[in-house]
Amino acid sequence: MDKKETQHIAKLARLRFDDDELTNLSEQMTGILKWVDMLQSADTSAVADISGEEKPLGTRKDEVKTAGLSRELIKNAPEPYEHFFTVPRMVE
Amino acid sequence: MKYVIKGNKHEWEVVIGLEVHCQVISNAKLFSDASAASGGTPNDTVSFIDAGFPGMLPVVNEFCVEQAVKTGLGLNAEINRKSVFARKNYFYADLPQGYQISQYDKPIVGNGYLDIELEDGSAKRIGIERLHLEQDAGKSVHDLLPGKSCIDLNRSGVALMEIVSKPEMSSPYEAGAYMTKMRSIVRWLGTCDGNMDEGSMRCDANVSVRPVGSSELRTRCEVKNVNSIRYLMQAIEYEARRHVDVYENGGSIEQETRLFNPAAKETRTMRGKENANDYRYFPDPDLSFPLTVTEELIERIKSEMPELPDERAARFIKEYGLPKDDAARLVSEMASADYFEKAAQVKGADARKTANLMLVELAAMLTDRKISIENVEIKPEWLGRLTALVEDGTIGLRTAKDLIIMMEDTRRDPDSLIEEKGLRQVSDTAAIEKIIDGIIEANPSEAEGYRAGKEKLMGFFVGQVMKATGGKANPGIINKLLKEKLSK
Repeated sequence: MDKKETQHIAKLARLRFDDDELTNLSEQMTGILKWVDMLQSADTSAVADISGEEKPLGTRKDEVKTAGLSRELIKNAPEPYEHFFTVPRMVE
Repeated sequence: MKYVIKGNKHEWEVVIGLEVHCQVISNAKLFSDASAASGGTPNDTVSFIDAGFPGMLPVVNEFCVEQAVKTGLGLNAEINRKSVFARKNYFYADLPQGYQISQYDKPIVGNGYLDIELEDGSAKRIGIERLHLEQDAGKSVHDLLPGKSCIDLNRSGVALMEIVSKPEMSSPYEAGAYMTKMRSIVRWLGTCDGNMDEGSMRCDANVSVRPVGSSELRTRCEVKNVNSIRYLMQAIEYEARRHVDVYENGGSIEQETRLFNPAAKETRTMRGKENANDYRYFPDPDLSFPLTVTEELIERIKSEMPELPDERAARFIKEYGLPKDDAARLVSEMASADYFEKAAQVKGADARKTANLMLVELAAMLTDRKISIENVEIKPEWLGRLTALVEDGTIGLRTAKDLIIMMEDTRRDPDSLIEEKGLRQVSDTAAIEKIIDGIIEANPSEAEGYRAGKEKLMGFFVGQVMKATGGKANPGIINKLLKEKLSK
């Protein structure tokens, strides 16, 4: 992976890196991809495809069971305000 | 009537595709058991799944699946027996999971269509490419705290149907007609409330232009944030004109996402190509088996489908002999179609006249008082009876108009009001004759004028008689008697 690709992925993940970090990360990520590629070389022709063993997706009924978690939900949020989570302002 | 934009160099036509988001009517959310109802205390209808807490497993709500299938059938579409949920990855503060569970290459509903009516009354079929299920995001409130945005996840995880049309609309009018039809279909089916003001139905438009006669597809721009059908039409009109101006000035259009500003009636860049989203879709490992729709389910939903607006309008025309326009107006809402049909069942109520009374007089009262047909106090049976009473001469049309107001105010049936207030039309010739004689005697110069050829004075006499009888005299009889007496 080159620095440009790493930069693109960093941007999608809302992360900012300086040039040295980008170089370093590009090397590391290339290594990870190579390692994953190695898995592709394993001969799996005799192994059944697990996704081929299809079961229908499990479903649930249209029933409301969870409610009133508001306090509990925001309990561990860093800066809750009343019943809200808060984040740095997203618009001007 | 083709929609053409005249530039300085060419004539241009517009190519429009719409993506409509419909919030699914259900009790619980798409993948959690928290309530899908809107409003209320912030973050109260949120489960740990909707808040993106680690280790939570989404399980699909079977009713939301049925609603999607029902909508698909209403859009004459293929129902895919197997479909797959995928993660659409992006970061935003109102999306706690860091991805939206959606459907990508295997949506639950495939090709379909709906028919719209054009300005000249002809029909046009608009193709639908797909309908898929996905989660809605939360809401951000920006004006509560300085420097901060407050996040309410109540809407997070509510089921949405995204319905994507083919790029087959070629004017703002067609796009408006498509939205109107779509809204009416989902409302009739009970799969979405269609409320654009409150955002339970939203729309993005993909717009491009090309020289008239060409079949190329040029670069399109996506216009977001159009929350009414009127705005949609304005946004498309502006955006298409902008493309024409750019091309004619030698420029090129970049693929981008634009926001419509209703106050300025213009669109502005929201994000350009360099910031285009890169969603990195992949099948959601939490929902790794395909979503399966069985034949039994499809058959059951088919058997539960209501008569849809087009079918009902056709039946109104055939069964009740209604004019096409009246039928179309009546089926714009299921409630008004039901109302009409109940009213028209009343003995002695002519269907065409009932429809007319409803679409003119009742509609005027409803508009005036800003109430909907669902909340009107006048029972449909009363309106039908009112038509019958006009028909048999018991009351005149003017009294019928007044009675609509009275019935609404008093919540009483027309017969009892007519009796109590003595509104019965006077058709007793002798009584009217006596009144006419008195009026002619009291206005000799007008009578003289009429006899000398000023026929306009007839109106004056009719008015006087109506006044003297409190509007209750049969106008046909008044006219006939006046003519007889004045020509003597």
